[in-house]
Amino acid sequence: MVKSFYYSFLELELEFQIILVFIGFFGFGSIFLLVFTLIKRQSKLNKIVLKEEYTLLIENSIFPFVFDDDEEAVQMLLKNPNYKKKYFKKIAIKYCINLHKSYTGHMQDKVDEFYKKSGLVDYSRNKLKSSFWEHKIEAIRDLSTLKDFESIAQIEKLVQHRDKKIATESILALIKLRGISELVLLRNFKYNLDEWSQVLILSVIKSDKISYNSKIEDLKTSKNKSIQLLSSRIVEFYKLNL
Amino acid sequence: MNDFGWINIDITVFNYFILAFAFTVMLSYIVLAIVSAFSLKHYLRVNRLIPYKSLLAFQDAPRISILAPAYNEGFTIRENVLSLLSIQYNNFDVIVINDGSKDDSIAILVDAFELIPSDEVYVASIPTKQVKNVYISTNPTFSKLIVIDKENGGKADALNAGINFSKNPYVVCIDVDCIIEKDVLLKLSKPFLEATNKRIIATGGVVRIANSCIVKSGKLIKVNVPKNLIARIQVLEYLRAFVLGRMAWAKLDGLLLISGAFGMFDKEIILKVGGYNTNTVGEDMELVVRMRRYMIENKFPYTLKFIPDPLCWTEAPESYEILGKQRSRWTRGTMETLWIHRKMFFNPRYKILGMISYPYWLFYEYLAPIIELTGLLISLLMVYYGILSWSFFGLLSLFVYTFALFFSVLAIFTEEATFKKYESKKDIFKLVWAALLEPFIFHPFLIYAALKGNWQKIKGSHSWGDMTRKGFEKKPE
Repeated sequence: MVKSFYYSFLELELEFQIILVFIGFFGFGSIFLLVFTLIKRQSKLNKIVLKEEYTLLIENSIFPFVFDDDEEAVQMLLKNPNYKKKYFKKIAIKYCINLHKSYTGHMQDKVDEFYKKSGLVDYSRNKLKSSFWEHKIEAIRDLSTLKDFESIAQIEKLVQHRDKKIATESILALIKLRGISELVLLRNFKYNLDEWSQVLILSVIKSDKISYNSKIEDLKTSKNKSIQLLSSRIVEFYKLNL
Repeated sequence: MNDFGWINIDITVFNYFILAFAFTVMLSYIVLAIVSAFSLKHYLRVNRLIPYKSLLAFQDAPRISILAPAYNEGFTIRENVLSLLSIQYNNFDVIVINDGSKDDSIAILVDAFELIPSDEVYVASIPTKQVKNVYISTNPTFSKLIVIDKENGGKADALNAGINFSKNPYVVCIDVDCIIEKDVLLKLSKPFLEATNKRIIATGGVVRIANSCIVKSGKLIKVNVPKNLIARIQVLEYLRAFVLGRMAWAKLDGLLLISGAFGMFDKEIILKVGGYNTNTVGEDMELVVRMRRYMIENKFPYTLKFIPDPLCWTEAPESYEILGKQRSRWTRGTMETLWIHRKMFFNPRYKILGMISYPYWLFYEYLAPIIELTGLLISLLMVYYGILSWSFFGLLSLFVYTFALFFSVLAIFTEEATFKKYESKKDIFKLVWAALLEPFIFHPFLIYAALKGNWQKIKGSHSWGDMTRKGFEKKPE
C-alpha cells in the first residue's frame, strides 16, 4: 500500500507533490507534538506522585532527628534505595531549606546538621563544581542557607566569576555565612552593581538578620558610585532597624 | 487564447500572489515561534532562580501607580479594587478612574472604601475631559487608593487623567476587571531595576483568558479551560499571539504593541509624547509606537521588555456579537495607528520597527483578512467560469488547515513545556478539539469582523462597542 501511494505520488505534478509534503509534515507534526505534550503532562503527574512519596520518606527521617535526636533515622534514610536518586536529593534539600526557614535557634541548627549528616551536603558541593551556571547558583544557595561553613573557600573563589549572576550569588552567600563584613570585597568592584543586585543584598541582610559591622562604612570610599550607593542604603537600613 | 484567456492569466498571477502570501505568512509564524522558543527557554532558565520577593525588602523599589479606568463596572468594581489593593509590593498606589459611568460605580466605591473628596489639586499636564472629583479613603487600610471621578472621555482619556494625577515615575495601565497575579509588580519592575545602558520605557506582559477559571477574593484559584467554545478558541489565539508572537518581537526589539489590558510604562516618556491619543480606538498600540518613535528620533538609547509569565487574566467574549465588536475595534485601532505612523513604513531610520515590524503589521495583520477575502472571491469566480482545479483547491485548503492545526498544537505544547497552567489531560484534549474546529467556526468570523472594522472606519465610526461581562466563576465559601 505504501509502495502504491509512493508511485501515485511520483506521478503527481510538482506543485501537488510540494503541497502534499507540507500537509504530511504539518499533519504528522501536530500528532507528534500532541503525543509529546501528553508525555510531558504524564511525566509531570508522575513527578507529583513521586514527590509525595519522597516527602513522606524525608519527613519520617528528618523529624525524629530534629525533635528526638534519633541518629538511626538518618541511617535509615541512607539505606533507602531512593536515596541514590537525584530527584530524591533535590526534594530532600528543598525540604530542609523550607524547614530551616520555618525554624529558629536549636531546631534550625538541627535541620542544618541533618543536611550534613545525611550526606545531602555532598550533593550540593558536587553541584558547585558543575559547569552549568544554574547548578552553581542552586548549590551556592543551598550551602549558604543551610550554613555549610566548609564550603566558604569554594564559594569565595566564585566572587570573581565572569558570570555576574554567579558572582552576585557568591557575595550573597558569603554575607549569609560570614556576615556583612564580606561586602568589603566589593570595594574595588569594577562593574556597576545594578539596582537588582542591590535589592538582593539588602534582602539577605534583612531576611537573615545579619548584624551590623562598622567595616561597611569603608565602602563609602569606593570609587564605584554604585557601591557607594549600596553602602548608604545599608547604613540607612541599619539606622532604621537598630 | 480562448474567451476567458485574460481571466485565466490574471487569475494565475493572483493565485501565485496568494500562494506566496500564504507561504510568507506561515514562514514568518514559524520563524517567530523559533525565536520565541529560544527566548522563552532563556527567560525560564534565568528567572527560575530569581527571588522576586527580595524586592519587598527594598525601600527604593520603583514607585508605581496602577491606573485602572472603569466604565459601568459597578457589578464587580468593589472586588476588583480589593484585588488590586492586595498586590504584593512596597511603593505603589491604585488610581481608579471612573470615566463617567452611567451606573452606580462611584457610589459603590465611596461606600465600600470610605472615600472622601481630596483637597489635592488636579493638574492636567495632558488635557482631559473635566475631572469632577478626586477621592481618597479615610480608612488607613485603603490609603493606597485614589479614585478620580471624571466626565466620560473614553479609555485613553481616563488613562491620561490617571497619568496626570500619578506622583510616581512608573505607571501600570490595566483593565479594572482583569485578575492580576499578586506578584505582578515584582515581576514587571525587575527589568527597570536591571537597566544599565538603555532606558526601559515599557514592560509588557502576557494576558490570558480567565473564562471558567475559579476566582476567590480577586485571586485566581484554579485555571480551567473555558466551557464556552468561542472563549476556548481565544485561549489558543492568545497563547499563539503572546507566547509565540510577542515574545519573539520583544527579543528582536520589534515590539509594536503592549496590550492595553496590562503594561508598565515610564511616565516621563509618556508625558513627553503627550499621553494616550484620544482620537484612536487603538490607543495602546499607538502609544507604544509613539514612545518608540520619540526615543529613536531623539537618539535616546532605550528598550522595551516583555514578561512571558501569565500575570494578567481577562474575560474573553463568549458570543459572536461581542467578539465582533471587539475585533472590528481592534482592526480600526490597527488602521489608525498604521496611518498615523505611516512615515515609518520601510524607513531605515526606524531600523527593525520601520523595516520589519511595521510592514509585518501592515501586510500580515491588517491586510491579511482583505487578501483572504479577495482569494475567496477569486475562487468563487473560478468556480463560476468552471476553471477551478478542485483537486488543487482541496489540497491547498488542507495544507492551510494542517498548518493552522500544527501552530495551535505548538502553542499548547509551549504552554505545557513552560507554565503548565492547565492541569489535566482532559484540558489538553479540549484545547486540541478547539484547534480542530477553529478554522471552520472562528477564523471566518474574524475575517468578517476585520472587514466590518474597515467598513466602520470608512464610515467614520469611533465607537468602542460595549463589552458585556459575565463575571468570573466564584469559589464557594
